[in-house]
Amino acid sequence: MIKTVNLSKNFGDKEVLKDLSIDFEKGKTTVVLGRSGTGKSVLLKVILRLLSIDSGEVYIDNIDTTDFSESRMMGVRRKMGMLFQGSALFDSMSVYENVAFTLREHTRLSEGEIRDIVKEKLEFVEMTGTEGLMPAELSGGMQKRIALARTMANNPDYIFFDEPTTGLDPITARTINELIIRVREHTGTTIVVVTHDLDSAAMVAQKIVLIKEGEKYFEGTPDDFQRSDIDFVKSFRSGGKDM
Amino acid sequence: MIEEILKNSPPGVFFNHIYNYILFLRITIRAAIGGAFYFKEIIEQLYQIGNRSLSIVILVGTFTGMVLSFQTGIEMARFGAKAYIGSVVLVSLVRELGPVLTALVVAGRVGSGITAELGSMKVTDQIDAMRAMAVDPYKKLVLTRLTALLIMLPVLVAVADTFGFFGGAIIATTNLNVGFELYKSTALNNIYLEDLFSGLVKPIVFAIIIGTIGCYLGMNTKGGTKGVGSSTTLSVVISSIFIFVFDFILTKIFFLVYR
Ligand SMILES: Nc1ncnc2c1ncn2[C@@H]1O[C@H](COP(=O)(O)OP(=O)(O)OP(=O)(O)O)[C@@H](O)[C@H]1O
Ligand SMILES: [Mg+2]
Repeated sequence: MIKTVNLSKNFGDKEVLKDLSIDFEKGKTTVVLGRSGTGKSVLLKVILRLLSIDSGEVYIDNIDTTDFSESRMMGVRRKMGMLFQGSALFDSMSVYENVAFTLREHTRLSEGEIRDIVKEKLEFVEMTGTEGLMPAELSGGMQKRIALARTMANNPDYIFFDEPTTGLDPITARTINELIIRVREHTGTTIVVVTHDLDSAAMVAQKIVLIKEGEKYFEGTPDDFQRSDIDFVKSFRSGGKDM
Repeated sequence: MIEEILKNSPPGVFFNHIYNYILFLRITIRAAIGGAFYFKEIIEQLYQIGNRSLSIVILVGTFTGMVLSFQTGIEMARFGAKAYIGSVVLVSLVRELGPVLTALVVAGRVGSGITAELGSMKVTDQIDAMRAMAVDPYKKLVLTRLTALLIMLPVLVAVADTFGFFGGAIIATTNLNVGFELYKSTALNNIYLEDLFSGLVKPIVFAIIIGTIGCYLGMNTKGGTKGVGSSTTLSVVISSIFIFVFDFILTKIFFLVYR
């Protein structure tokens, strides 16, 4: 389980996250919804401590990681994975090397074992046979899949998805959503998805959190979200039509 | 508001860079202690550095030796001292021109490449992705490049010195009527251990300059592709300035120590 308590983050005078308290329950998919620029990517980066915390706490598996140094966070990160908004594949490495990355870094598996795992993960994301390609040769949707395979290579307990469907056509977006569901069903991974895509949220979420300018406006089940009569929830649901 | 203006003024930017550069050095030194050692990456970087700069270093070394021999040879002939041309060429190369010119070539070819590579990895989140996968980019990217430069720059300087020496010999034998035997013996008789020592210390210091500035600017790149461009240019400019400044400082120190 991951829990943030009164989490705040500023860049200079700009408050990006304000007193955010969110529970990300074990084995479930939580979707954090919010408009562009509300601090969704920052939230994920702060939890992984790729950005520092200004105030508040972050608990990971009931351990307060707030004051962890970079080297202690390295240990925590081994059980976590993140899919970046732009995939962030290593563009000097082939697909194979990208997916094998954490295996080479953190395990002593033989090349044969690595090859089997890479093959299995590529099969899972339906990208079999792309081992030899370079990231630049892949479309955006394919890059997201490879990034997912890379994240899954060392079977993390948590996977964070930053805008997994943004910039994809509806059909590709749907296949990515299906993949996210499949990851949870197959592996029991705790998943956090941040997005502004309502369809994606409706498909994958067991829990929805809506934030606006770094503050939490809503937290509950997708059903509650559909029924909620909080103004901002209503306007977000309708895409701003009844504002 | 005032804070903002101060921060964006030239001195503000300057001190901000100094502060961040010191932070960068601290992180890098910490990363150097213990943990994973990336032998394969260092070999790869050694190859990259050699591949990018060897041919230019040979070219620059040879022509510098030739020009040095030519210019000073004509002048020395007027004082009847042209027999000593070999010694002038070799000492100038080993003490001064070999290290400085090689370092400038490497700053332009390799330092800029490092900044561009790390910078584009930074702005496309690849650096953060690496950290998210529990791999320290300072160990895997920065230290490997720094180590490779520390090994390779002295080697490249030795190459430049050697080719410069022979470049000088070509001019001495063909234009100045100084035989190769004489050229060689005056050269080798007048080169001292101090010269070789200074010829080794300078490349090491220059490697630290090129490597740390190149990596620092890369790892701190902001502002997308445009940011990568300006970091890269800055990397070459700042490294070159520091190479000249430290060349003078080191020369001064050597003279103080050996006088
Ligand atoms: N490293 C940084 N330095 C300064 N400001 C930043 C930094 N990262 C993010 N910000 C600012 O924080 C705010 C939130 O950014 P963030 O990337 O989290 O938005 P987002 O909700 O992910 O938006 P999008 O849906 O467009 O990805 C933005 O205004 C952004 O300018
Ligand atoms: Mg974002």
